[in-house]
Amino acid sequence: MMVNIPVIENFLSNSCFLILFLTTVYYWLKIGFGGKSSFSFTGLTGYGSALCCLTLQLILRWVDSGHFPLSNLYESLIFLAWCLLLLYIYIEVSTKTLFLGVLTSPAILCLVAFTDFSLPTELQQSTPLVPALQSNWLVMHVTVMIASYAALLLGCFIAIAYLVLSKFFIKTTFVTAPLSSQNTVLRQESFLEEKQKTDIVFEKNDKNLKFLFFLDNLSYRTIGIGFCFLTLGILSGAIWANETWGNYWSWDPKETWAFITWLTFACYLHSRLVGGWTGSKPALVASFGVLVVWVCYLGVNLLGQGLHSYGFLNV
Amino acid sequence: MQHCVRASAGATAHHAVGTYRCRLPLLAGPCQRTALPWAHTKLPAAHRTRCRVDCRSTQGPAAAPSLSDSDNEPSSTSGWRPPRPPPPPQGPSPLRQLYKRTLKQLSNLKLALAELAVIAALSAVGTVIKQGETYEFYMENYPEEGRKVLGFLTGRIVVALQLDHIYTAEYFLLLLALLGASLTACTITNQWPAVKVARRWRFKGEQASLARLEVASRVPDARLVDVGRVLAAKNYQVFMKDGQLYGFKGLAGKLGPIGVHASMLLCMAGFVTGALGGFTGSVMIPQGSETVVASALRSASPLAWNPGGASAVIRCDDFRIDYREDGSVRQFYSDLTVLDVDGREQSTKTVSVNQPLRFGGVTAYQTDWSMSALKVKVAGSFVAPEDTAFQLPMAALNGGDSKLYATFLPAEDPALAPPGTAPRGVSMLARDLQTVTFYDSKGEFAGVRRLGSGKPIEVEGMTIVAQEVLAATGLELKADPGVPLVYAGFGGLCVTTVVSYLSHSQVWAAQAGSGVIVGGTSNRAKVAFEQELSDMLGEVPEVLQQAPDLVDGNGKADSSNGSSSGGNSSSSSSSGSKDSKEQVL
Repeated sequence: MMVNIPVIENFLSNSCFLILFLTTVYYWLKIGFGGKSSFSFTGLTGYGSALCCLTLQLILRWVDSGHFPLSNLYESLIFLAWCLLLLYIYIEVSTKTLFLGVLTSPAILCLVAFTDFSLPTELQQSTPLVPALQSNWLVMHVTVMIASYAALLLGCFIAIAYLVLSKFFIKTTFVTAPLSSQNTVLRQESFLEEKQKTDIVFEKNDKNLKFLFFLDNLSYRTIGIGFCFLTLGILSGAIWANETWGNYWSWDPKETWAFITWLTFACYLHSRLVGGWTGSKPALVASFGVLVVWVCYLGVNLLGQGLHSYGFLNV
Repeated sequence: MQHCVRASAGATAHHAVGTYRCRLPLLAGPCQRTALPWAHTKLPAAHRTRCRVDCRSTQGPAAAPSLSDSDNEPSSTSGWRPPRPPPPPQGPSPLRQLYKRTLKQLSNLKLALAELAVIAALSAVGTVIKQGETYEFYMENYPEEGRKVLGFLTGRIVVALQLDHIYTAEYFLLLLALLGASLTACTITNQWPAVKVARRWRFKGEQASLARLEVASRVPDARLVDVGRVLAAKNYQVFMKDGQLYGFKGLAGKLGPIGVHASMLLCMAGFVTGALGGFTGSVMIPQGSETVVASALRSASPLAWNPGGASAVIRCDDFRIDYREDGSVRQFYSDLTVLDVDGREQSTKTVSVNQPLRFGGVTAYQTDWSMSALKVKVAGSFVAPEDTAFQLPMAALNGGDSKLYATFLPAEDPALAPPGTAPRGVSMLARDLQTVTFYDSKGEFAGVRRLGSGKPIEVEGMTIVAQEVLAATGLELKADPGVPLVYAGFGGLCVTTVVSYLSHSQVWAAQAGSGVIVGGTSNRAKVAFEQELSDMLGEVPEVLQQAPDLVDGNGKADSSNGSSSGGNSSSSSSSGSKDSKEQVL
C-alpha cells in the first residue's frame, strides 16, 4: 500500500492541473463570448473537483507521513491552493458572479503548476518533523496563516481588478463617494413579488459604477477576513514560540515580514476611514499588499535565514 | 432658562418676579414660590444654578429619545426682563488645553497611517541587513571602497544609524511608543465617545432624510409593523414610535475596534514589563551535574525583580536523544530535577523541545545540547597496560552547521614528548550520540564504532572500546513577568479582531401613506446588506385594498380576508395611516 501512494499522488496532482486548466478555459470563453455572465454551476463543478483532488492528496500525505501535512514548502503550497479554491467557491456561490473566475482560475492554475512542476522533487517528499515542529500548535498556526494568505491574496486580486477596470475600462466620471450622496431612491420593480435579487433598472453608467462598488466592497470584506486570520496566525505563532523557546518575538525575518504584512493591511483597513478615500486609494494599498504577502510567504524562505529556515530548504 | 416660565402673570415690567416654575418638573422639581409680587425678588442663586444645571442635563441622551425636529415653545410673556447673562465660564487651564490639542494631533488617522508605514519600512530594513553581527562583518559586507551596496551604504553608515540592531534602536522604540500614544489618544477622543453615540438611537421621520440613505426604497401597500416584524426575524433589534422605525444589528462590530486598540495597548504594556522586568539566561548542564538557576540568569534592566525560582537548583539526571532509523533526530529528552536551596527535591520532569519545565516563575526550555565527555575503556595505553576506563573531556569543533565534538587520547606520555610538538595519539570525533569515528596520529581514518556496542578498535597500538558519551543539556532559562499581560492582550486581540469583522447595519423606516419608506446603511458589508435588505423587503406582506362589501359598519373588516399576514387580529395600531382610506386588520 505504501508503494502506491506516490503514484496516486502523482495522478492526483496531474488531474488537478488538468481540471484547473479546463476550468480556466471555460471561464475565459464564457466571459469572452458568453455575453451576460449569468451564474451557472459548470465552473463550480470544475473548481469542486479540483478541490477534491487536492483534499485527497493532502489526506494521502497525512496518512503516509503520520503528521499533519503542512511541514514543508510543497505541502504549504498545496494547502494554499486548497484554501484559495475553497474561498473562491464560497465567494462565487454567495455573490453569484462569474467575473472573478476569470482572475482566480489562472492564478490558482499557475500556483498548482509551479508547485507540481517547478519545485524540485526532493522538496516534494514528505519528511519527518524536526523536534521543534512536533506540537499541536503546528496545526493551528500554519493552517491559519496559510488561510490568511489565501484570503489576503484573493482580496488583493479583486482590488487589482478594481483598479484595472476603473482606470482603463470603465470611463465614468467616478466620484470617490458612495452612491448615497446623490438623491437616488432605487426604483424597485415588482418588489414584493420576487424573493431573489430583483432586476434594478439603472442606466449603464450606474450599472458599471455599481459593479465597481461591488468589487470594492468585496475586496474590503475578503481582506477583512484575511486580516482576522492573519492576526490569529501571528498570535498563535507567538504563543507557540513562547512555549518552545521562551521568546514570543525574536524579530526573525519570517516573523518580521508577517508583522509587516499585518501593518500593511491595517493601513489598508484604516485608509478607508480617511475622509474621501474610497475606491482607488485603498486599492493601491492592496496591490502593494500583494507583494508584501508574497515576500512574507515565499521570499523570506527562499532568501533569508532564521528560525523558519529548518522547515524549508534554503535555496 | 427658556423653559422656565413665569407662574404669576400679573407683574409689571419693573417687577421681575421670581416665581419661576420649571416646565420639566420631573427633573428640576417644583420651584419655590418666592415673595411678594411688588418686590424685585431675585431667585436665590442656588436655585438659579440648579435650574440651569438641570436644564443643561436634559439636553444629553435621554431615556426617552426625542424626535429630532420638535422644539419647545418659546416663552412669550410680555414685560419680562431677560435674565442677566451668566458669567463667562472660566476657560480650561493652559495645561488642559495643551493636553486636548496633543490628543487631537495624536489621534489623527493620517499620522497613524504614516507611523504604521514607517515602522513597516524599518522592520523590512532589519530583515535585509543581517542583525547582530560583528563590526568586521559589516565592514566586510558593506565596503567603503569599490562597489558600495546601493551606491552609498557602507559599514560605517550601517553601524552609525544602528541598522545592525535596528529593533532595539532608540528611534525604533520611540516610534513604537508613538504608535502606542496614538492608539491611546484615538481611544480617548474618537472611540470611547462613539460608544456613547452608538447607544443613542435616532429616528428619521422625513422622507428626504430616508431617501438620502445608502440604500433606500419604498415598499407600496405595506405596514410599518410588518416591516418591523421581518427585521426582527432577521435578528435586528427594532424600535418603533409614532409611525417611525429604527432597527440595528451587529452593534458589536462597531465597538470591536475599541477592543482591538485596547488589546494592543495591553500587549504593549506586557512587552514593556517583560523587557524591563525579565531575566534570561542559558546554561549547559552535563549529565549528573547541577547548577544554581540564579547564576545563569541575567536581568534585562535594573528594574527587574528576582523570580522566586532563582534560588533553585536544577540537576540534570539524564539526557538522551531519540533517533530515527535514518539517523535524524526525533526528539531530545532531559530528565531534570528541581531542588530548593536546602537540597530537597521539589519536582521532576522530562523536558523535551515543546515541553518546558516551569518552577517559581522561571521556565526552562530545551534548546541545545553538547557533548561533555567520552567514556572509553582502553587496553594498552601508556598509563597502564590492562583495561582502564577513561573519561575524556570533549571539545566542540567549529565549522559547518552540525555539531562536531572531538577528544584526544595520547598514545605516549605527553610530558615526554619534545616541547612544541603534539604527542602521538588517537583522535575521536562524534557528531551525535550514536557513533564515534577514530583517526590515528597521521590523521587517517581508522574506523567507526557504535556507542554501546562493545566492539573494540585497534588504533595506535591500543584497543579501545567506546562506551558512552556524557552529554550536557542546553537549557534556556527565562523569567518574564510580562507574559500574563501579553497573553491577555493576545487573547483580547484574537477575539476583538474577529468581532470587528461584523458589520453594523441600521435600518430606518417610516409609514408614508399606504406604503413604507425604508432606508438603511451598513458600515462594512455594504453589498451584502443591500441584498439582505432587498430580500427582507420582499418578505414584507402586502396589504391589499379591502373590498367595501366585506367591511361592516364600524369600519372593521372581518378576519377572513385582506392582509396576508395571516390571522393576526391585533388592533389597527399602525399609526401612520391617519390619512389612509383603507381598513386595516
